[in-house]
Amino acid sequence: MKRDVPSDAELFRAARLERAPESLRAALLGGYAASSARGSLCASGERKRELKRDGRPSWAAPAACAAAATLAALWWGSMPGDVGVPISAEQPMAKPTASAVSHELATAVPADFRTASEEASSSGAVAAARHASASAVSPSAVSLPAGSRPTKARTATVRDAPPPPRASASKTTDPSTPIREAAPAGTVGTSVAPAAPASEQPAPLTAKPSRSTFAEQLEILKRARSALRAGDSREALVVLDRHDDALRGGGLEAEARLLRIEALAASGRSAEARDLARRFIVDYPNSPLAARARRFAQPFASAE
Amino acid sequence: MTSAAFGPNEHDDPPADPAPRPLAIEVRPERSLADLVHRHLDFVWRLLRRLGLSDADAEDAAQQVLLVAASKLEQIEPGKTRTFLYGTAVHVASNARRSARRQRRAHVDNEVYEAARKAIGNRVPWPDELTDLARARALLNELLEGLPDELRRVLVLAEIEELTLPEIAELEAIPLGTATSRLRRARERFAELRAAQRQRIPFGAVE
Repeated sequence: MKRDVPSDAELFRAARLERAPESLRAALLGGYAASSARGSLCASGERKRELKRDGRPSWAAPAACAAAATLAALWWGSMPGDVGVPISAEQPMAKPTASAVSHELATAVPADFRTASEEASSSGAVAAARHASASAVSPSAVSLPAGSRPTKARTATVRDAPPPPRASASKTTDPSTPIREAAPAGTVGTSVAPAAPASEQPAPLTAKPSRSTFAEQLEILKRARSALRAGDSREALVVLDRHDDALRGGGLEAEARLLRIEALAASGRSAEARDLARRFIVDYPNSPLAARARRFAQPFASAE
Repeated sequence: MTSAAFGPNEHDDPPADPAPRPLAIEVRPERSLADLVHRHLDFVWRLLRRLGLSDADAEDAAQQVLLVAASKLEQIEPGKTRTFLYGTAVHVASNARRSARRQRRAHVDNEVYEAARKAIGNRVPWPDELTDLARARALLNELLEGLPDELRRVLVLAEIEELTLPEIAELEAIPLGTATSRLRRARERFAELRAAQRQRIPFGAVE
């Protein structure tokens, strides 16, 4: 068979007709659910089902496109200085702001996540007391809406908190299987959410996004990290999924995301880990954690 | 028969373009990432691809470009979104290409293309190997690789995005005269490369 030489016009026309792949569009419109492997999941219904089935976090919901922009803005744009809880000097990672703490923690994490996090939250009461007594608490702190600031060093045992009624927070790897979290002996200070009265069944930490305190986020990460270190990556993912709302947008979001990447990789879901790692590198190009994320993003990230 | 399936005049008519001129799209400022995706993703994508990024790299780069733009929405002047995206895309593409070169990692589609070509004796692959459009794009990319970057960008904007010279000058932040002369040089160089390509690759070779 013989073929004609494509003309210049045909070459340009072919280029003109090129459209971005639907998987990319869906990934961008679906917030951080970037995944070329999931490109066919554009239809929202199918996408939601799929997300639920494989336990993608709630920020993968299609409605999260605005969240992506917000988070990107937080990182690239004007990150408020007082994102979270100012912590007094008695804390090992004493830094005046949560973002600074986050950075500090980030640098400490590669060696051993516990060094900072377990110290910081070994006693929830201490953490909460720090929180309450910190003199420089900003009323405008973005992660602490007015109603959610802890009034005092109240402690609540973190136990197998039931998933919140919101579907987005209940996406676990296997929703039908009741999974008990490894309830740590320690306690954690929780914010007093107006709609979440303390009862014999503790309110979930993730009553609402951004209502969690820094100490809570730290505790969640600690639990996920402990599970991962114990070789239970599935449990780590369950913890991260369950408390995704609490972690989202907080000062420790980067750490949470990296932890998820590691847990996914450890549980054999390397494609998802890679996708998230790529997103992580894009979102936090200058973070000390980016180097760790690169290990999981081999196809795109530079090898060194 | 085959052409009928694509409808009459498919190859003669310029592609139907119901959308207004690209710069005129911005009737109201983009307010979210979704706005950016709906209005500009294809533009960014084509640009990145024609600037030499592989599918995989273009996907990453496009996300990066749009997320950066989304984070700067407040700071982008009304009507300048495309300019911002263009500048960002050129920058990101340049970095990505440098990174790709450093890793000595050939573009995925180029690998496929080259492998197919070697397998069939340096002949341009047929549609059952690559589709017509993909083949044309691969050829185009090969030609564009031979252009200096500044000429390549101008040619892409003019021939593929069909922007006017003033629009190109605005995106490139160069005087109109410079844009004009660059486009002229780009076309001349492109024609030379095209002639060389025709000689090198035996089009019309019989299977």
